[in-house]
Amino acid sequence: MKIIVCVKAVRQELVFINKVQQSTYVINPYDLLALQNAINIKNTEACTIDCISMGPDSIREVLVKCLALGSDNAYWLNDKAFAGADTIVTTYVLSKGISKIGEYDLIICGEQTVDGETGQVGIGLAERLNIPCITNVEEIIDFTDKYIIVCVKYEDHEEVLKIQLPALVVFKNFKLISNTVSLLHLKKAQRKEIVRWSSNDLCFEKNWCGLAQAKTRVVNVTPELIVKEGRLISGNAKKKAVVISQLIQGRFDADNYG
Amino acid sequence: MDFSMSQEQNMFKRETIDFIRNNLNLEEFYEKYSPEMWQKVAEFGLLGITIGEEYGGLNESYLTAAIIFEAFGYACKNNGFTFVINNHIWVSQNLIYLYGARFLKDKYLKLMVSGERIGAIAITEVEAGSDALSMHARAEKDDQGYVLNGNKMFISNGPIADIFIVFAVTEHSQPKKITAFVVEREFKGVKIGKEIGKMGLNACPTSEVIFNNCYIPKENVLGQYNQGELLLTYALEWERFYEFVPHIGVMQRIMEQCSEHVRTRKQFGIIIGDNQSLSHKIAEMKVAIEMSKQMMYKIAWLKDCGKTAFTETSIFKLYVSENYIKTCRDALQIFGAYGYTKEYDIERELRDALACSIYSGTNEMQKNTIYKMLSFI
Ligand SMILES: Cc1cc2nc3c(=O)[nH]c(=O)nc-3n(C[C@H](O)[C@H](O)[C@H](O)COP(=O)(O)OP(=O)(O)OC[C@H]3O[C@@H](n4cnc5c(N)ncnc54)[C@H](O)[C@@H]3O)c2cc1C
Repeated sequence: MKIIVCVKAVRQELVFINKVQQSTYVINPYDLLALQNAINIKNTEACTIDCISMGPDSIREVLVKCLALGSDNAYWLNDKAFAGADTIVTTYVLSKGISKIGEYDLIICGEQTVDGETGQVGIGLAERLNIPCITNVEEIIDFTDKYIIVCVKYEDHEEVLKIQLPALVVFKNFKLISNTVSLLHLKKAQRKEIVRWSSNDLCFEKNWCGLAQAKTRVVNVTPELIVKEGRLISGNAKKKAVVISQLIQGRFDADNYG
Repeated sequence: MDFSMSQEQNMFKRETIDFIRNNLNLEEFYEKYSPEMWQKVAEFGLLGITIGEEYGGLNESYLTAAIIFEAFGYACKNNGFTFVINNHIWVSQNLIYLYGARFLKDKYLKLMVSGERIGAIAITEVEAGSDALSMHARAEKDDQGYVLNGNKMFISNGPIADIFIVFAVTEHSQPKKITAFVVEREFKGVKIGKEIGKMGLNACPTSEVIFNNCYIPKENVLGQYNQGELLLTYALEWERFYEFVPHIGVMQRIMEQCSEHVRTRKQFGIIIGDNQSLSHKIAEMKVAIEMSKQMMYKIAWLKDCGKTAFTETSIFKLYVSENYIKTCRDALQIFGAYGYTKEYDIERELRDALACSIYSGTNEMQKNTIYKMLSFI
């Protein structure tokens, strides 16, 4: 069985605000969770994992990291003409890449990327490949060569769905901390070939992709800083306990505090 | 000369830094050895960077190893633990790999690279410090092997090690002849003394190791019989390089801490970094780091070419250690009373650093060597 994981490399400062991580690019945290789920399946079922990513020259290390983490193959859709792709174009290029890979059973995507935040690629890609798609996936419960059973979570309820393969599932959560891989795994990954395809290899016109065909553009992504109002409670432990209990019971009178 | 790092080296370096920050900076183990941390380092694959793949190593170059260990010093705040690893790799495992017979390699290397066995080196004795060759430990030859008697002092990793590289007199002629042996902790007649309390590097336990009629099979001679003196110089060359490479990383870490502090701490209405007396200290740290790195690249290159670097490693050891200590001393001054407290780590950094002008041959001895070697240049 074959699982294809769609991975995007994103700039590290969008993920790690304090720059504790060392690389310029890291795996988009949503895709990291998707990959982790694929690896979990591989730990129990006989299958191969192919990672596929569209991105510029500088993202090679991210694909090496995918290989080191447990992906068997890595495909890199790399062409200057792909620059500036929106979701419509991205899904087009990815669908071409996936078709060129050949047979597959399951495609796994993360819900969105931290630099685009559009959340459209998974569904768009399924549409282009003409396969069923389930979004909001929390967990893959069962995996056979004919179908998978997944748990889908919504705000107020959850569903357990059985879906025929081939299919595409979109994981809703993200994973921030990438497991460090051993130096040996890293070395083996570095030795593996990463398959690099340009628009020529994918047999389509350059003007069919990139900025030229993009219908939308993400101009900027800024994290929203949510500052919660805080109150410093002073006094001895007894006084603090009284204030906290008043706060919990909604009886706190700020005007008379102090 | 090309000073750029390859993508592979960059990835190794980054992964090492991330691994260390996620796993090795646990404050509870700053002053005591942690077997769990050792296990993690072994699984991460750090122990066998330059060892051949047939023994589970990575077979990487000495330059790559230097880059990784500089990063190790930079990321790992536990200098004692760094010392444990370096003693194991460079003056124990590495000696078996480079100078050991096939039998010794097959017997010990896999276990050492996988971290199942910890190594140590035993040269120093109570009455033989700088004058190491005046050692008294002796190994008498018989048909099957050697009988070792003597006491070795200040043995880093002593209390936790399974395998000791021991130097002992094997011929009492003038000058006397020395041989190196691979001695297992389990050999009859090996006794580990109690742990020696130290000023710093406390995550690396130190002890005396006593050999009382310890029987060593003849296969466990490391290198050639009676050629131990040569092996000792090789061992010290490796030690003076790779035990001091991480110190460059530590200097970088401390410099960054100092830069941050002088930019945020205000006195007399200005940030203290605006005082030249402090900014110059940081500039000097930067100069020392850069100069040390240049020398590091040169020695790594010499080693990758299969050349000796006897004088170079003496110069490196001397320069890095003096500047490492100076950096810590200056950091203490920059942090003022905060640096003197236990809360800010600077006092521990200084305590850890001070030993480096003593181990691997004192700095005075390095100057003697460098001066002596001038006549060979
Ligand atoms: C933290 C630590 C870890 C160590 N780990 C190990 C280990 O794992 N294995 C091991 O075998 N040893 C180890 N040692 C021992 C170390 O190698 C010795 O301490 C070192 O060689 C110096 O010997 P000494 O301490 O006996 O000092 P001494 O030789 O007594 O020297 C005392 C002072 O006299 C000076 N001096 C002596 N002779 C001369 C001279 N000819 N010219 C100028 N100055 C001179 C020295 O520079 C020094 O300042 C360790 C030491 C330390 C501090």
